[in-house]
Amino acid sequence: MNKYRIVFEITKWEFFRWFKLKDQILTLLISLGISSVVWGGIALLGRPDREPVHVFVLNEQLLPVAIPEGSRLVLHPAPADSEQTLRQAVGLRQIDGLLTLKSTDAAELLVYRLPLWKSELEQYLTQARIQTRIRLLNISPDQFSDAFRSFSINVIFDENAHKPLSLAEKIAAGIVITLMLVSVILSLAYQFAAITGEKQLRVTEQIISAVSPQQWIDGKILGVSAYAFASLITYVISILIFVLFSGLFGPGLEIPVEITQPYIIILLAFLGLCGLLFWNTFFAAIAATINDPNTSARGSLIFLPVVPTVIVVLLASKNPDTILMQVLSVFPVTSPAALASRLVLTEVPAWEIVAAFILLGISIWFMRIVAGKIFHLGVLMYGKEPSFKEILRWIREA
Amino acid sequence: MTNPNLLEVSSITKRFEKDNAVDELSFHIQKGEIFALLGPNGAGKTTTVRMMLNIIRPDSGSIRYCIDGIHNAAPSSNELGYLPEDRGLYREIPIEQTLNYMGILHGMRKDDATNATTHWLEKVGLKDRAKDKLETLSKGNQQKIQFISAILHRPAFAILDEPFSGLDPINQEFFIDIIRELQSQGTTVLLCAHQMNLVERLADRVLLMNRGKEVLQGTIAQVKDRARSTHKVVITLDETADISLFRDIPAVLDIERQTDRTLAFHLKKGESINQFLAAVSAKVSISAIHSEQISLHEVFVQSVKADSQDPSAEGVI
Repeated sequence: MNKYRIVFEITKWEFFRWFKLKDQILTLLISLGISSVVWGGIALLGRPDREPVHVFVLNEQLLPVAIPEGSRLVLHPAPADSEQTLRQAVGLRQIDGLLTLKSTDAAELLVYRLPLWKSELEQYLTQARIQTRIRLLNISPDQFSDAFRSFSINVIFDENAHKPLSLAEKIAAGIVITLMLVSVILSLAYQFAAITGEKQLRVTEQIISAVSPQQWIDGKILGVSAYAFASLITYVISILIFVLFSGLFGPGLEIPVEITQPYIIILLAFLGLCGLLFWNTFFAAIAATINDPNTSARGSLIFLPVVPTVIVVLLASKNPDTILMQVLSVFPVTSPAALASRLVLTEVPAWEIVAAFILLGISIWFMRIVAGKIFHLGVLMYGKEPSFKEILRWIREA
Repeated sequence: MTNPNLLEVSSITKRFEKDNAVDELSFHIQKGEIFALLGPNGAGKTTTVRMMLNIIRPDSGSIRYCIDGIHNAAPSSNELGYLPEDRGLYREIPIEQTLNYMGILHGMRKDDATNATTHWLEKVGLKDRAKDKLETLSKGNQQKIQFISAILHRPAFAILDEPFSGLDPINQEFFIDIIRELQSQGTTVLLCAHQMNLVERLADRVLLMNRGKEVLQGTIAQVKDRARSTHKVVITLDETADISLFRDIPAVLDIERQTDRTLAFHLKKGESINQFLAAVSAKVSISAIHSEQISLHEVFVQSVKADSQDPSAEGVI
């Protein structure tokens, strides 16, 4: 059988071994549920109480208050001799409040519960007071507005200089990197199960009598990476559902315009895929040397991608345009995270993107050969894990 | 007329650190035969098999296959079936899927793999369990599935490492029938097993290894004939007697006590039974006697013992 067909069959087997459509649908349904609860809840709880608030006003002539249309506040001027009756009405909860104007600067409000509308009423009273003052000073509203007009500075950014990052851009970059990191760690867990688990189950020896170790490792790397990429897409759709619901039930979350560009989306997708392939080639080799993942200290290496990624995120959030960030954007270990964050946060020259993909591609190709060699030599070592010295010797021989 | 050789192994040596796992081993397997590779644990059988499968490479020597007239260092995946001693399959996946997958990896088309899976599951009485996960089957049934996975694609050459281990006598017979059926359909079989009685019934030729080297090789009859002892005489005495009493009889190679009064004497090759009986009867009173040809098991034990005691005993026959 054609060797590519064998790799394809192994890839297909590994992908469907882990990929369960119902799990992905469940993830999306959970996202739908969380989005509904969060944004629906915020919309529901944040909705103003539209019941009219009846407030009776004593000494209304001191400060003629104008209530704009649409407000739920309803002010009722009341005669001075009705004070006692109105106080009793408040006590009996028949009216919401009794406002007694003491002067144009002071008032007293009698209520039976915390008045959530107090700030709104204060705002109208302030307006009324300002109008009264203007009238007393005998100046026109236009003169008044002109006198109190605030100073305006028009900010212009130098295109060659560092542009400050918005919170939305930082959050978007953080989400992109986090999703990539989550899918990498997820795939590494499955890679361990696929390789070390099979070694423990004694499946491997029979299989590699039928296919070459390189075909076997290639299929595993591709299959598990494809599964992780499918999961990454599900996560992205989940986030989009969340963002969509924020717009449906509320003001909507701000999405940086950069990540809505089709070419940025495609580049981010390719970077995600390449990052998964890179780390999976590395961990396929590590997994082949592990005898029992429950006791091997090498299992903790699964968190290795976290370190460079966190460093990259911290550096990128401060300034994505430094020389260090440019170097990290093309260096294969950090390029998936660094370039992805820079694509979201800043303008990246085309040569950097091309260089990053070329170096990443070469690294993946080299790493898969090394992984295949280590897998070949390490996978039949039961009971004893090869030392790092032995592994280095295998790599040199590869 | 003998069949052409399917496999020729010439002076292969494999060294792990300080030990020679396999040392200058040579043998051949003829097309269509059942060849048994025997030896105690650590004799080098698995290392030899892994070199034959090209999983590991010999430090020196050569391995050549000739399947369908084409010479090769290793057979292609569709020509080879392998049941390893250390075995296992995907426990959490339905057996039907696993078998189809194994068939495809051995070069079968998907439809052919599906048909072969159905055929074999029906043959071993597990057709109704096709959608069950392997972990839900009994150990014997799991062994059947593992066996099917190795020969589903009708290989030209099947290497079966301990195919009978863990099987009850009924299933052992069942597997013997299947191995014979494979042979009748043209599959050449290399058998590694510890059940000498089963090997004796199945194998056309055997190779006995110890400490990485050949100890005996040939047909069952040749091997027995070349053994240090060819006959065993079982004597029941009137009274119990100490084994040391008979050590000085020249014809005796080895003695084992079967009961208080029953002793089995392995006679040296070519020694006269009459003279032996005369020597025994001169020492003790005999109440019963019978003689039998030694079994392959006894040849195995004798030869390995002799080889292990005498480093220069290579090829003792």
